[in-house]
Amino acid sequence: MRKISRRTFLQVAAGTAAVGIAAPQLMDMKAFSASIADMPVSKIPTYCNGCSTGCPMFAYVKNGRLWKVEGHPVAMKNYGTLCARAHGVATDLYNKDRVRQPMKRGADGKFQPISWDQAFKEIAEKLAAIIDKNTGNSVAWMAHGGKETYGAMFLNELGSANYITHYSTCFTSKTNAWDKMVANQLTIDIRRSKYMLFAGRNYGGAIIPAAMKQLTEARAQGRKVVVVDPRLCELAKIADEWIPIRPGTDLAFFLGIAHTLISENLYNKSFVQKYVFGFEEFWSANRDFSADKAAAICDISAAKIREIARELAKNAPAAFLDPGYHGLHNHYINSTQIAQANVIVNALLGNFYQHGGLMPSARPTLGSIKLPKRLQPEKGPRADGAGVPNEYPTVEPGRGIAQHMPELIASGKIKAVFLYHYNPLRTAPDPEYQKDLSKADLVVSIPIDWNESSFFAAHYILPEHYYLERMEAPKAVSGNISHDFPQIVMRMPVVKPLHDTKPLLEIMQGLTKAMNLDDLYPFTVEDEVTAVLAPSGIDKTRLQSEGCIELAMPIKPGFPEKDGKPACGTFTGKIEFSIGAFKLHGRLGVPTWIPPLVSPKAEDEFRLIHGKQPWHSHSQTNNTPYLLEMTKSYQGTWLWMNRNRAEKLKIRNGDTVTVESKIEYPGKTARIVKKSMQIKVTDMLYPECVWIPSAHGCFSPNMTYGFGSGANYNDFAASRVESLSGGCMVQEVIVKVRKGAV
Amino acid sequence: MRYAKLLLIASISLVMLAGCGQQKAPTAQAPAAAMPAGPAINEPFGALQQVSDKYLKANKTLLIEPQEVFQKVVVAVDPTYYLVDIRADEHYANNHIPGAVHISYADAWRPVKTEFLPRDKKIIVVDYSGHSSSQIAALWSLLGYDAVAMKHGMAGWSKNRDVIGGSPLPCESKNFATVKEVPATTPHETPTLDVKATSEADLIRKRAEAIATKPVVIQADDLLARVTAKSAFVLDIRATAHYQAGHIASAINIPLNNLLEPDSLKKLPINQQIVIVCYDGHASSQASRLLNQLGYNTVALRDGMSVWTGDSNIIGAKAVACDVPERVTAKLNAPLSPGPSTAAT
Repeated sequence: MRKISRRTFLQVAAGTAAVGIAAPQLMDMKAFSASIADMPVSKIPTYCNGCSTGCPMFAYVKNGRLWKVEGHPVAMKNYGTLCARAHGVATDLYNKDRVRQPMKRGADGKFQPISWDQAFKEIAEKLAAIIDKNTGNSVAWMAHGGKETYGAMFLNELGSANYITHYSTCFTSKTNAWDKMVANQLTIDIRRSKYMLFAGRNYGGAIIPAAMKQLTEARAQGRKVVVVDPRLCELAKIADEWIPIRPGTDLAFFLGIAHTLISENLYNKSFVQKYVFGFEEFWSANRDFSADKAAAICDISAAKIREIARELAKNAPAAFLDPGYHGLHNHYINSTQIAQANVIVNALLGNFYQHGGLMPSARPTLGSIKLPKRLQPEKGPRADGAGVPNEYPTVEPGRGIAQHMPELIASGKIKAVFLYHYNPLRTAPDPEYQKDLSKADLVVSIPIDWNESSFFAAHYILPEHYYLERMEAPKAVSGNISHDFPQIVMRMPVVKPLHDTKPLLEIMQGLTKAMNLDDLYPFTVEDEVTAVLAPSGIDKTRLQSEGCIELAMPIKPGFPEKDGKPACGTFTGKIEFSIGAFKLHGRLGVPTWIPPLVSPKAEDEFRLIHGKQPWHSHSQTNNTPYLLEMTKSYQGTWLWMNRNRAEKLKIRNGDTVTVESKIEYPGKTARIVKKSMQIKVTDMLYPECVWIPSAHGCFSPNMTYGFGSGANYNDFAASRVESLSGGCMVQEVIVKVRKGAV
Repeated sequence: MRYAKLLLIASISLVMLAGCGQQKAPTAQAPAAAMPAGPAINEPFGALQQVSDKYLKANKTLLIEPQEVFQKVVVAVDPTYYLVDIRADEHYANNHIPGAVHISYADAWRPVKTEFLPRDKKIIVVDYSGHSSSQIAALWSLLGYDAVAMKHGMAGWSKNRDVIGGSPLPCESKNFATVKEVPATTPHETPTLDVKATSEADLIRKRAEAIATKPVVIQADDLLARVTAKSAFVLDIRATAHYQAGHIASAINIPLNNLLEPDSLKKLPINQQIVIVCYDGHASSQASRLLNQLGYNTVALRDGMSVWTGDSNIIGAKAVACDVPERVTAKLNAPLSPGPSTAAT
C-alpha cells in the first residue's frame, strides 16, 4: 500500500470533503494508521510553554504530527517527568480555537481576515498618527513577563517608558521586596534541607515536578516538611504537617516566628551582625509583636508558632521558610510586608547562600546580540506611575502596574496598547472594567488563541507561531528550587507552522518595516542563538540535539563578599531589613503588622481565595480540551467551602449557589456581581474563606471548549493598586454565598 | 444665618474627617480626579477659617523637645511615635534620626504621601529649624493626624551643619530695637478662595497644594531693613503682656489663640505680605500656615523675638539655648533616584 504522508492525507481529506460522503472508502483510518506505523519518529528537544517554569522536554514527531512530549531527564525542574499541563498545552497545537491568520475588527465589531502586509501597513499608519499627536510615550507594551525581549526594543525606538508585565497581577510584592532587600531571588535547597516550612506556596498545584520529587524523598528520609495554608493543598497532602491559617494573616505568623527567634535568642547573631542592615530598626518596631499576639490574629496557636521557630532554628542554616510565589505576594494589602517578613525570618536563620537553606540560582553566562547604538527619543514618565515620584514611587518601574490600564486610557495617557501573550481581560481584576482596554485608539494583540482580550478589545490580532512551531534564543533553566549546576535550554521548532502565523521577531520586523524602521531588528533568530551562546562556549548543534545541557560549574555556598565586605548587591551590600526606598517615600522601611483590608463578618460572608489546580495554568489552559476533561472528572470548577460553614447555610456537596460580591470604585455607583457555582463541601479548608481554582471562567465565545466553564476570582474583585508594590489585592474580597442559582 | 450654615458645613466636615480617622490605612489609590464626589463646599474661606480656628482654640501641643524625642524614640524605642523628616532628599539621606521616614515639605499635602501616616501614633515632624515642620504639624493636625513638630528641627538635634543640612541654632540675639507703641489697626476685607472642594480634607489639601512652595521664613536682618523702610506689615502673636513689654516697630498684636476669629482676620491686609512674629518661630510658622491657606500672604520671622532681642522681659523665656549635644543619626540605604526603567523579566 502506498504510504500516505500527512500532506497527501490532507489532500485526500479535502477531496473527500468536496465530494461529501460519496467516497467513504478514502477515509479508512485503519489503513491510514497501518500505512504510517513504521514511519520514523523524530525526537526534538525544546521546552514547555505551559507555565513560567519552562520545563525542558522532548517532542516526538511522526509523519509531521506531534505525537507526544516527555520531560528531559537532565532538567533540574522535572527530572524527565512533565506535569499534566505540559501534555495539555502541547495538544493545543491542534486546538481549533487558535487564531489562524491576522484579523482586523471591522466597523461592525466583527473580525475579518487581513493580510500580514495590509495589517502592518494599517497599524503603522495608525501608530504614526498617534505618536505624532501624543508622543511615543502614549504607547504601551503589555506582556507576560519573561516571555519575550523584542517589545522593549520597540518601545525604546518610539520613546515610550511603558513596558508593563503581568507581575502586578501575580507576585509583584515578592520581586519588589527581594530585589530591594536581597538584590536577588534566592531558591530553596530542598535536597540538603532538614526542616522546610511552606506558607502560601503549593509545589503540587503550581507544579514543579522536581520539587515534588525532592520533597517526597525528603519525607522518606525523615526530613521535615511543614505546610501552612488555609487549604489542605496538594503539597500539604505529602507534608508531615498541615497547619491551617486564617487567610490574610501570614504576616502575623511570620512576625511571630521572627519575634520568637529574637526574643528567645535563637537567631544567628554572627550572621546578622555581619550580613544584616537594619536589624535594630526591625526589632524596635516589632518588640511587642510576640507569638501570642500573632496567634490571636492568625489562628495558629502561640505554642505552635514557637515550636516552628525553634525547629527552624535548631536545623538552621539547613532550614528555610520558602520564599513563596503567587500565593501571598499580590493578594493582600500587606503582601509587601509579607515578602519583607519572609526575608527577615530566613536571614535570622542565617540560611542565605547556605546549603540546605537558600541558594542563588546557578546560571550560565549568556550573551546577547550586539546592535549599533541608535539615536532614540527621550522617554516620558511611566504612564502607570511605577517608580514615578508622587505616584507609585516604590513600585518596580521595570515591571509596572498592569491592572489599571483602562484608567490610563481613559485619562488619555495611553493611546495604543500592544498585548503580547497577555490576556488582562481574564487575568486582571474585574473583566468588565478591563474591557475598557478597547477604548484605546489602537489595540494590537499578539496571541495564540482567541483569548478574551483579543476577542473583546483588540483592533488587530497578529497570531504568533505556537511554541512548538518556533525557534527562540537559549535561556537558563533556573529559579524556585536550587540546583548546583547551571543548565541551558533552547526552544526548537518541532513541526511546521500549521496556520498563517509568524514568530514574534518576524511580526516585529514586518511592523517596523512598515513604519520605515527597517533596521530595528537587523538579525535572525539564528543570529540571536549564536550571540546568546557565545560566552558559554556551548556548540549550537549540540544544544539543538541534546536539548538541555548542564555545565560543570557548580555554584558554591557563601555570602557574596568583595574585599572582605558583604556585597550581595544591595545598597549596603548586606541583607536590608529596612528598605531605604520605602523610607525615602514616607513609608516604614521595616514590616510591621498591618491587618487585612476587609474581613468576613456575616454568616454568609467569606473571604474569596484562589489557587492553581495541578492540571491547569491559570487562564492559559482554560480552553485546552484534554485538561478540561480532567476538570470535569475532578469537579474542578467547584467552589470549596468548609463543612461547618456549609451546614449552617444548609448547603450540601454539589449544590448550586449564588456567589455575590460588590465591586466599588471611588466616585462611582457600586456594581453587584453574581455568579452561579457548584459547591465542594470539605473539611480541608479554613472556615472563613471559600477557595476557587484560578483557571476557569473563560468568556471568549471563540474559545469553544472552555467558554462558560466555571467562574474566576477576577470576576469578583475591583481593580485596585497596592501602593508599595503595585499588587492588585484580589484576596481582599468578601463574597456572599447563598443556596440556589443566580 | 450664613454663619449657622457655615457651622453646619464645618461640623459635617469634621464628622467626615473623624470617620476617615477610623479607617485602616487606605490603599486602593485613586488619582485625584477619581476621588469620591462629596457635597461641594460652598464657602471655602468660611469652612477653612472655622476648622482652622477650632484647631487653634483646642490649644493642641505643637512641639516636642529634641531631648524627649531622643529619650523616647531612640533610647526607649516607644512604638507609639512615628518620625517624619521633611527636609530635602539629600539631607535626609545623609543624616536622619534613626527610624525616621521621609516626606518632602512641598509634598506633605499629597494623599499619596500621607496615606501611610499612622492615625494611632504621634507623628513627629522634623525639619532643619522647626519652622516648616511647625507648618506641616499644623497641616496634618487639620487633616486629623496627631502631629507635632520637633523643636528647632535637626538644629535642635545636632550642632553639626552637615547633620542639620542647614544652619545651627543661633547662639546670640541681634539686640535689635523694640518699641512699646501700639499702632492703630485698619479694617480689611477677608480673602476670597477660588477653590472647588468636595470635602473639608479636600479643601485643606487643595489650599496646602496652592501654597506648597511659598517662602516659609524671613531673616531678622531682612525684616529689620523692611521695618526701617516702613514697608513691612508685622503681626505679633505673642501674649499681650509680652507684646506690651516690647515689640518690633509697627507690629500689631493678636494673640495666637484669637488669631483666626473673624474680627481678628479683619485686621489683616490681603494684598500685602504679613510677617508673623512669635517667641521662637514655631507658633508663628503654624499661624503662617493657617493664614496662607486662608489666602493671606504671610511668612514667619525666623527664630522669632528670641533672636531679635535678648531681653527676657520681652521674649518671656530664655534666649535660644545653642548648647545642643551630638546625637545619633542614621544614613539612608537607598539611592535617591530609582534606576532606569528597563524592562525586567
